[in-house]
Amino acid sequence: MMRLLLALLLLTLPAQAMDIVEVTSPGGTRIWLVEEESIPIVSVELHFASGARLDPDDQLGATALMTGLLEEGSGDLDAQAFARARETIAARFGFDSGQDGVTISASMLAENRAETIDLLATALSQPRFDPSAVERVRAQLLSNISAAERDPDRIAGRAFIGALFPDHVYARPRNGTEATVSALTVDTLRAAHARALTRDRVTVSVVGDIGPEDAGRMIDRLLGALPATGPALPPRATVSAGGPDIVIPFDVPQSIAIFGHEGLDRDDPDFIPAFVASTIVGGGGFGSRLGEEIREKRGLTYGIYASLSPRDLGALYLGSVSSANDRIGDVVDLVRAEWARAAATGVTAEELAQAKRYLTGAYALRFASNGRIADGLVGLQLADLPIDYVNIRNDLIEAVTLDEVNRVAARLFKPDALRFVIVGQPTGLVPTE
Amino acid sequence: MSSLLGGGITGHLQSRLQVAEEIALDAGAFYSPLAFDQQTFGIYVVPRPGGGLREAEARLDAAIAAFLEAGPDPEKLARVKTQIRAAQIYALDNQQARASRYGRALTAGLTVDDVAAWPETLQAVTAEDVIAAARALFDPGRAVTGYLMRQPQDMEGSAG
Repeated sequence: MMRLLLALLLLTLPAQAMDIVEVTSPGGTRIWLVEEESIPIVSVELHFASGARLDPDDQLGATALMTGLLEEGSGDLDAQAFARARETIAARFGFDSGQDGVTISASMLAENRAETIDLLATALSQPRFDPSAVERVRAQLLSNISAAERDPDRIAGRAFIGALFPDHVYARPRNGTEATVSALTVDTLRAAHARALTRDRVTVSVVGDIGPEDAGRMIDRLLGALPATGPALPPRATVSAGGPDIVIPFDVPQSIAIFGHEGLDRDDPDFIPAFVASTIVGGGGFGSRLGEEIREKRGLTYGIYASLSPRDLGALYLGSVSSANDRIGDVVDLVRAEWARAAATGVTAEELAQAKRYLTGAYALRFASNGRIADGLVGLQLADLPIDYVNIRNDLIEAVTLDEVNRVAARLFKPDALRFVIVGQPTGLVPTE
Repeated sequence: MSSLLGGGITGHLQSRLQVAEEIALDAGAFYSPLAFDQQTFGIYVVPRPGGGLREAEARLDAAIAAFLEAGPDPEKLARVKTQIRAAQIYALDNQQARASRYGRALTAGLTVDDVAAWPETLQAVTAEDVIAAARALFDPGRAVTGYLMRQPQDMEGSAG
C-alpha cells in the first residue's frame, strides 16, 4: 500500500520529484542535471543544432550517412571492434539525425562510466569512415531512400514539406537522393562531420547516478576533442501562406492526407494556449473534435490528429489522416469545416476543462525513465525555457482562460491557408502531379 | 543462441554474411522465449542489391552449418551474458517494460518465480548447451522459408 501511495505521488507530483540543476563544466559547457541515485545507471543526451539543413545541395544525405557511421568504427577500432567494446561494457548508444540537428543518446552502467565515455568520445571525434563500413551503411541508406519512394506516407510528407517551405533547405530530402548519396565520398563525410558536431551548437543533459562535478568533467571529456564552432545556419523559412491542394496518384486502396499550414514557434508567447486549442481540436486518440466527427460519428478513419510542429527555422501546424479512396473527399470537407468552426467560435469551457485535466495528468508520463527525462531536458533547453519549467508547466496549462484559448484559436486555425496533400486514388479529387 | 547468431554486427550471421562475405545488407535471428503454444525461431538475410535470394539462402545455410560445427565464439558468449546482466539493471528504469515482462510471462503459463529465475538461467547457459539446442533446432524437415521479392528475377539476382 505504501508503495502504491508513493507511486501515485510520483505520478501526480512530477515537479516535486524532479530536481533539475544547471551545471557549468570546467570547459564551459552548460549541462542540465538530474541526480537520480536509485538505479546505478547514467544517461546522457546531446543535441547538436546542425543537421541535414547544412548539407550542400550536391551532398544531400551527407549528415544522415555520417551519423550512421559514428558507431561503425573510430580511433583504433574498426566497426566490429567498436561493437565488441560497446558490448563488453554494456553501453547503449543511439545516433540520430534530422533537418535541425544530430542527437546522441547514451545510457551506461555507473560502474562502466569512464570506459563508456572514452568510447563514445572516440566515436564522436575520431570516426574512421572505413570503406567497407561506408559501403555497408550507404547501401542501407539507399535501401531506405528507395523504400520511401514507394511509401505513401513518406511521399505525402515530402510533398507537404516541399509545398509549405518552398525554396528552403527544409524542402530537400534529409536522407538525400539515390544520386547524391551514391556520390558521397569519405572527404564529404569528413566535412559533414566537421559541420555537425561542434561545441558551440551542443545542448546537454545528464540524468542518473552522478553528481555535478563528475558530470561536468564527464561532459568535457566527451566533447573536448570536437571543433569549437560550426558554420552559419541557414536563414529562417517563409512558410507558404496557402495554395491549391496537391493530389499525387498512387495505387493504394486508402488515400493518405497530410494537411496544415504555418504554426507557432516554441518561444511564441501564445504557444501554451495554442497547444491547448490544438489538443481540443486535433489531439490524438478519442475525444478530440476531429476524432469525434471523423472517426466516432462517421467511421471514416482509424485515426486523425493535428499538432503543433515547431522547427528551428519555421513552425508548422500539421495533421494526418487516411481513409478509403471514395471517402477521403468527405474527410477533407469535414476537416475544413472543423477548421472554420475552431477559428470562428473557438472551444467551449467544458472542452477546455477536459483538455486541462488530460494534459496536466499526462505530463508525468513523459518522464517515465531516465533516458526520457534526459531527452526532455534537452528539449526544454532548446526551447529556451526556464530550468523550473517542469515544475510550473502544469500551472501554465491551468492558467489558460477561455478568452485566451479562443483568441489564440482564431490565430492558430487559418481556414484560408489550410492545405492538403493527398496520396492515393481519391474519388472526385483531380491529380495535380 | 538468438543473440549469438543475431546480436548485431558482432553476431555470427552478420559477421559472416555482411562483413566477411559482403553479400548481405542485413542478417540476423529472432526468437521470443515467451509463447503459450509452439514457438518459432527465425533467421533471415537481406541480400545486397543485385544479389539473388537463392545464393543468399545458401550462404545463410552454410553459416548455420559452420555455427553447428564450430560452436559459439566464447568471447561473444561472455559478452552476451554481460549484456543480459546489464539489461536487468537498465530494466529497473522502465516501469512499463517491467510490468510487461511479468504480464507476458504469466500469460505464457510461467510463474513469478520463473521470471525471477530467468536471469540466472541464462547466465548458466554453456557453449555445449547452445550447440545441443542448435542441433535440436536446425532440422530442415521442420523449417519453412519465405521470400519477399519485387520480381521473379530477384531469386537469382542480377549482379556478380
